Amino acid sequence: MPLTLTRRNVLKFVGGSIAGMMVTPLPWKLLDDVAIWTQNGPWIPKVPRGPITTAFSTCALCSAGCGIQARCVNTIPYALSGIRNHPANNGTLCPSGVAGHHLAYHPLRLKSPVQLFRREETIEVQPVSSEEILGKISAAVAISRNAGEGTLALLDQRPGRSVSLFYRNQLAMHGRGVYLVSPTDPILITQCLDEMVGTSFGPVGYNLERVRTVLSFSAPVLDGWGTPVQTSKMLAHRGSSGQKGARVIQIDSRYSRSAQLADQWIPIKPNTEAALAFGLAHVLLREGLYDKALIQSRALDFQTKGKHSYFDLVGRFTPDHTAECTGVSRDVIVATARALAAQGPSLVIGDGDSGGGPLGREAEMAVWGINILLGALGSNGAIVHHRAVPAPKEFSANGLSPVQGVSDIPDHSIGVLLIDASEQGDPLPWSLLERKLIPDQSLVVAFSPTLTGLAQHTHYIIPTPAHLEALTDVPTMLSSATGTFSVSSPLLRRPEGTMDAREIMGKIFEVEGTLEELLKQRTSAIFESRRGRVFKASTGSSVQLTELGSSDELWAELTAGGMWMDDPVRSKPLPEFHFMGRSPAAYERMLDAGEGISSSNEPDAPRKITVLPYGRRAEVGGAQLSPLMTKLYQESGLHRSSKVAVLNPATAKEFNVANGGRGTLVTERGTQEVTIRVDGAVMPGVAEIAVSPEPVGQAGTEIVQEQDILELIVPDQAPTWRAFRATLQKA
Amino acid sequence: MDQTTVKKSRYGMAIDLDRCTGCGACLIACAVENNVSPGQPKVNERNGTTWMRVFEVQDGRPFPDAQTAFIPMMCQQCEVETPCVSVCPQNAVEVDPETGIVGQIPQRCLGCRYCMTACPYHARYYNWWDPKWPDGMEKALNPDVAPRMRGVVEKCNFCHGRLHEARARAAAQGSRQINPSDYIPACVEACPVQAIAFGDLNDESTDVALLARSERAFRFLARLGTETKVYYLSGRDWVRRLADRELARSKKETLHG
Ligand code: SF4
Ligand code: SF4
Repeated sequence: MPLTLTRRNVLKFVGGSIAGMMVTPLPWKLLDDVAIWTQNGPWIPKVPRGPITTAFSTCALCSAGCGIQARCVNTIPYALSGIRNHPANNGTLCPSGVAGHHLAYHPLRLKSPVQLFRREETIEVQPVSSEEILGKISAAVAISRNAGEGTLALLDQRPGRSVSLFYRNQLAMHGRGVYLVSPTDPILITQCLDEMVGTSFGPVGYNLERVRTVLSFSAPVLDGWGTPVQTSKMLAHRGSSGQKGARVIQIDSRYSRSAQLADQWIPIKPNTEAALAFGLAHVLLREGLYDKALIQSRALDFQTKGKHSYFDLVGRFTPDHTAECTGVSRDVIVATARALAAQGPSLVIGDGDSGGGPLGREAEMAVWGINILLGALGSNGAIVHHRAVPAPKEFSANGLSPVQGVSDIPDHSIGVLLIDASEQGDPLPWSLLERKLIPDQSLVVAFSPTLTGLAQHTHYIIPTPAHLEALTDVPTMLSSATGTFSVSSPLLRRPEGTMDAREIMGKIFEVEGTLEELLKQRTSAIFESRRGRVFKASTGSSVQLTELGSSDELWAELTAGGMWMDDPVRSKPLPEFHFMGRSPAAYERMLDAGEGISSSNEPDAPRKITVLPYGRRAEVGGAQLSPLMTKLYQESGLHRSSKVAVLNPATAKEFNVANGGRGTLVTERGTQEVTIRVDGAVMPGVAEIAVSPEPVGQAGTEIVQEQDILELIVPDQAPTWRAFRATLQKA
Repeated sequence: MDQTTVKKSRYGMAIDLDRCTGCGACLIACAVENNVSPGQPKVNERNGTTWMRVFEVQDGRPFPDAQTAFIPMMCQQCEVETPCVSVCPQNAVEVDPETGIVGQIPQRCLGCRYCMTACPYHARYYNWWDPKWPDGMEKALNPDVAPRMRGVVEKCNFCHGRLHEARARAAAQGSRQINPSDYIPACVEACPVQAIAFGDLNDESTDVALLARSERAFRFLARLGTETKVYYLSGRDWVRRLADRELARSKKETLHG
């Protein structure tokens, strides 16, 4: 048949070809190839190529001191894991630790000194030379020393390091220097014990191996309070392990992670922990569940004639009265006290949630009091003595400025405030610090690797090396039964414009030396003590320190993921002590703490909600969160940021706010918008809000001020920020 | 064993929900290992990418009696009628017959998201943005895993990069059989409370095989017959009952009991 070229035939041919082509691999291959080619566009980041190596160090993000093993490409770490058999973490890491190598790339990272200008919601920065900042500090320090105008204060966000000893030494020599720590710092908790015994009781820690029952006063005992190994042991009886672990009772106003994981959660009205501690002590005394002979011989204020005694104080907190104060039922109070006595050895932990604010001195003393009644403190208890980590001679106690909590110094007294934020630390409401400054005259400078946390409130920032760029030591954790010492050695090269905190302070005080020299001196002091054991990352096992040939050998182990652990010592017998401390009007202060300021007792202003801030160790306000932490916060909601308020459904209804809706919290200090989440497990009448800032995944065009719930705290309201009142309106 | 024959494996996991503390270390370790980029400023629970996501679930009782559990959820590695395999028009999803691992081949993926619709576990994630890391952070990416572009779907593959590495190590020793201790996924390695066991379900002696046979073991949506290779363990009835609930469609995070 002749082929006639008609329009119809052409269309048929084209149509048939297209249809036929569909059954050949050609179009699909083309599609496939296009997909592959577009995957390789220049805008898709390329993975690094180069030699793969392994390096060891220690995580310094919190004082657990976990050993880390880094897989590196071109000597740059790309993945971190825990060192097997390491006494702190046995091969595991927490989420912050896993992503610790990212902190050097934080979008708010600083690599040269800056001056800050706070605008309404943003911060502008201008470059400035470190010489200029150091000149200003030196001039202000000289005025403080010579003219006596204002004190020189240094706020150490990570006390207990070797550089902290250096600071305290220099501040003591300055004459008008004060060394400050956050009111939540564990050092202040042991100071309460010192106040009770009237002298330094020495460092204490917890021997959790000895404990069958743990009663926690809102300490995050199962969520970052101890080392991963300790937490794992406490949870060992869960699941299929068949192992034994301690029974954990969590007293908490919040449905915290520890409350969720504990064997029993006892919800309590906010800020009434002291009353509950007295109520528990009441039952122990009334039922004779304590060592009478010991207490009567050692307690100087147990029963005193003509004066108010501990017995009188505790006598007022009958189970019924305590139930009224705390909202905990009388039966639960009685049963808990009996369980502590019957299922011992028991331990009561008062070290609260670092983001949630301090428990307060009186409440801490009340907690120590129960521990004494239960026999936890003394020769065979779970609270054990240990020795301080050896240090060079110039750092003996009398050459050091005392440790003070920020709230303990007078208002308007600080002329120069230096904030060492080079390591992650506990959060602190800026309002609490601000009122300690001489208005409009003070100079505030932070040493920080990033423009985050308290550093956002300063005049100048001198950038320090980021985590894993700097050499630093990791102090002993409060939960540790013996002194420990480890060194975080750098795995990354630090940027040129950065200075470590020792260098900065050396320049201010004109003292020669480097951080490395300081840490080597400390290592020598440890080596010369001939005490303890050393965990070696290379073998995954520990040896006696005396098996090492020299201090250099010890240094080599410590800088490669090792850890020194002191030998345990026999705990001293309980000395004479005062249950209520030795301060004047001790009885009245303790009574006020028990009966006093609780949010539920204050005259109820209309439509006010009790805000309960909380934090997670190494993830709290000012923490330098890895950009990848958006996975835990924004992308999964597993961790909640400070922009989310969690309410009971009944409370949400009362305040006319809905799940997923917006609300505005207002105090005298300002307002803050939050997203409402409704959760039936939360206590009615409260809003649980995290202190953590939202992680920053990508750099924005401008620097937005962190929204931190602690900014709303009116510092006059109470000495702690565990709970504060705010109005809540629908936004 | 003969160097040329490879024993067929069925890799699987057993996750103890009575041990999991919801810390999220697994979630972060997974993102680090697999070069999942940090979220963009507008990222949220619906458009974020987390190959492993830990859900917080409650038993629905009111204050103060509520009970909580945490469920780490990733690709459940369906063995039978793997839904994503059957719907993918591009053959971008394959089940490796040697390991039983459901693999995703992003280079082939066209981004039609049929697989996301088909996945009963909501364990697949679509890249709404091109991957982007803060300045300099590309130097810290895992050299064994290529980042994926915008417009493709991705998911857990039991840390394929680590499997390759383990195979390379075995090959260097003249074996085709990998050493089980060389192949441990990142989430398993990171978990501080050892809540996740991993290994070959075909090998009866492995922890994972033992746990999978335990009385506390169950699988999510077992009634669909997908024979998933990720087992969960719990002694709590209310947690076990969640296994039969459909995961909420509207929001990945709402899984309340
Ligand atoms: S197996 Fe690997 S890819 Fe899968 S969830 Fe765990 S870490 Fe992520
Ligand atoms: S790391 Fe372990 S404990 Fe933490 S969320 Fe994952 S499975 Fe649970």
